[in-house]
Amino acid sequence: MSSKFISPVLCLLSVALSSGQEVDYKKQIAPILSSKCNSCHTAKKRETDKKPKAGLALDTPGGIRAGGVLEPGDASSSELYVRVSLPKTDDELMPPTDDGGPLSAKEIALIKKWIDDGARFSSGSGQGLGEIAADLDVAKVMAMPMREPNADGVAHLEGLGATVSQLAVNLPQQLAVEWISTYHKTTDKEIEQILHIAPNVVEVDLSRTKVTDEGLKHIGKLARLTHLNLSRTQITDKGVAHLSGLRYLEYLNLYGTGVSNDILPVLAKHRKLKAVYAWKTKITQEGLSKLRKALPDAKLVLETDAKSNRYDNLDNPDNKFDF
Amino acid sequence: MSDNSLFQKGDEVSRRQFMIGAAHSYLGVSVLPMLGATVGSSDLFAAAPPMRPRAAKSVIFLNMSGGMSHLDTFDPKPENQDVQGPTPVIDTTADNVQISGFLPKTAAVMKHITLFRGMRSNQGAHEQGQYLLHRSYAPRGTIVHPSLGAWIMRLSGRRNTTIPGFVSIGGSSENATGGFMGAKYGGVPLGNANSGLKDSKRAHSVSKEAFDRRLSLADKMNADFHGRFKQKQIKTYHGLYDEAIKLMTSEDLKAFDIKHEDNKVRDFYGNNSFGQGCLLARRLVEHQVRFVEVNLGGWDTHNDNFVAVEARCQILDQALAGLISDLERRGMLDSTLVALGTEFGRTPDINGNTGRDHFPRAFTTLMAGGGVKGGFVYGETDRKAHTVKEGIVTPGMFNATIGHALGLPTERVVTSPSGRPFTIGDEAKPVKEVFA
Repeated sequence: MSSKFISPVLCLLSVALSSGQEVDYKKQIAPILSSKCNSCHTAKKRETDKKPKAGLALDTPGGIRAGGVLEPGDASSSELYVRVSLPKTDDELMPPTDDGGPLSAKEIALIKKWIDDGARFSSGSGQGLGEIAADLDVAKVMAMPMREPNADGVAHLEGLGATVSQLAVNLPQQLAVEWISTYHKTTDKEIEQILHIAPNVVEVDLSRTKVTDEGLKHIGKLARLTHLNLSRTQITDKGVAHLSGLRYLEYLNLYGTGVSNDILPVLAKHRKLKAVYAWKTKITQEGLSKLRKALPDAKLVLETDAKSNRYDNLDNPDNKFDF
Repeated sequence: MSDNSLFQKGDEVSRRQFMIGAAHSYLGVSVLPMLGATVGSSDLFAAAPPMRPRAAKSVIFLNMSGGMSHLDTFDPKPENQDVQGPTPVIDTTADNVQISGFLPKTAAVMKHITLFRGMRSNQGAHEQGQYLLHRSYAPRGTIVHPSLGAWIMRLSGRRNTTIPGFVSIGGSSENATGGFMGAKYGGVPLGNANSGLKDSKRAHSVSKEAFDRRLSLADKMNADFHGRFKQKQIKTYHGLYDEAIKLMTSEDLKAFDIKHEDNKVRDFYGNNSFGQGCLLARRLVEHQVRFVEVNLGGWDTHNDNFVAVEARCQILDQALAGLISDLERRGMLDSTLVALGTEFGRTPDINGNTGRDHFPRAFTTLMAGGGVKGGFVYGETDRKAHTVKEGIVTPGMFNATIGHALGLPTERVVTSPSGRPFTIGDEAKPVKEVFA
């Protein structure tokens, strides 16, 4: 649609750039966006307007990803590039001419090259590891208010196979950590590294990992945790005891673990709990009825649809499924 | 308006599709098309954060193709025997919600379900109706619209970057099209749940060592060429190999193999292709696949409606109730949206062959999990299920609601190669009332 409008100057520039090294998002792209785009396209609440223009926030990688304006590897199909490279007379040009536009030829070329190279937000993972490895005492960091996540910590964790994602476009500081394709080789050692970003972690999915009771000590330090999935892991009552400090816990999935009724007094103290999953554990219906008194509004799931009486015969704890 | 509009038709057979087709036909390699969804991926093709926290992460879309009778399933009219016919009616676990007696197990899980009893479509033929259901737009000669799964891939990407994010089990491969967005957003069609992912494993005659040796040999031979021609196409093609190898050696491949499930679990979903498809869908969602469609056909009951619908319902009932219960006890229901759609309902008036004919003016669909209310009914038909009294929902609104459940920016405009603007629900707004 737009390629025919691109001026020869631009083409020359992009050729010149393409022989150079990779464009760095943080150093080269983010500054362009922040000086030229973020006055309208921001996730931060502004006085005049609570939403970013067109629902597109360009001030965080999450916002840009969610915006659907990128086709990694193909600038000419990416709205982010197409809209800034239109001719001056085009109504669709961004930024608008009366609002600081258009971008300079060099800026446009940088954006093009960045997208054509795959639009990477971080340059390599596991970087800066030496710097942060020593800082595992989270007691101090936890006291701080929620702040920008430690980017090196995120990259480090991703290098170990974790997926770290923002909870929502408008909550870029709250992070969810999970091991999606790598659960089968994830142990306490990798899980401990989550402490590098401890102040920002609100959701953790450890299902099917090799986490042990010992590993839950680290999880117990994530004071802002609201969601914890431990399903189909080796953990037992001993491990759950380490979670007593998690005051904000709302969702706890224990399905397919070795826990028993003995943990219920611990769970009863988590007043914020909204959902506990205990299918295929040693927890019994009687145990749950007692917990019900402490948590009258929570969803406590042992087995669904007891009422229909159809789905009860599956409860066989010796039955190990291979997932 | 110009002559070249034909050339801009988004879904023409591209060179790559041709190669894929040829590779499939002559080499028996079917892993290539599924990689359509993964080629050119980078860290960016991974999922984008949702617009709001705690949105659903995956969708299981149950496609009732052929046009599911609303009276004989989810919108019975027991007080009007002339339209109700012999179909029995039962209470459910939701107060004041009755459904067909052909669905007793579903009645037991109704407390997790929202019914949309005010569905309305403007397409009365199967192909057009299915098209509208999947793509929010009526078919046009000049463009191929992307299916819902492709929209979800486009607006938010994959959560598991090793396996495809969009899988369609049974049914027409049309349902998995990327349309004008291109093959990379399209889904992987699987013929049936039992066969798993075809040709995704190393051939038995090739040992691991031989395989590695061949790969490194190929790398050596390619190195010079790749060094001299640093073009995108070449990189993409190389990426295809990398993706294939990543998948072949991945743990996630197990997700596609329902033989890993205990027989009791398999029975729990029903031992038929739809039930097993739903079981496979759950496995895929456990591995963070974003969008799985499972097809159940045979709803086109022009003749002998009551016998045919009862038989369909037996399959649907077991699978739907099994799926919802299984997701719930695993703690997955809140993050997984189960949606059931069909292209239209069927005439309240019973025809001369004890059948019912096509009826797009009023029908029922449903959603469960994914943050929607349980035991809730949105919309209502009149006393004979002839027309929608209130709460009209079009296929576009239904799709926008699915998008909203996932926290997608449903108003986001995506421009086709021919320069025309499209949105996930054809500008329709999501029905926010159904969310808890």
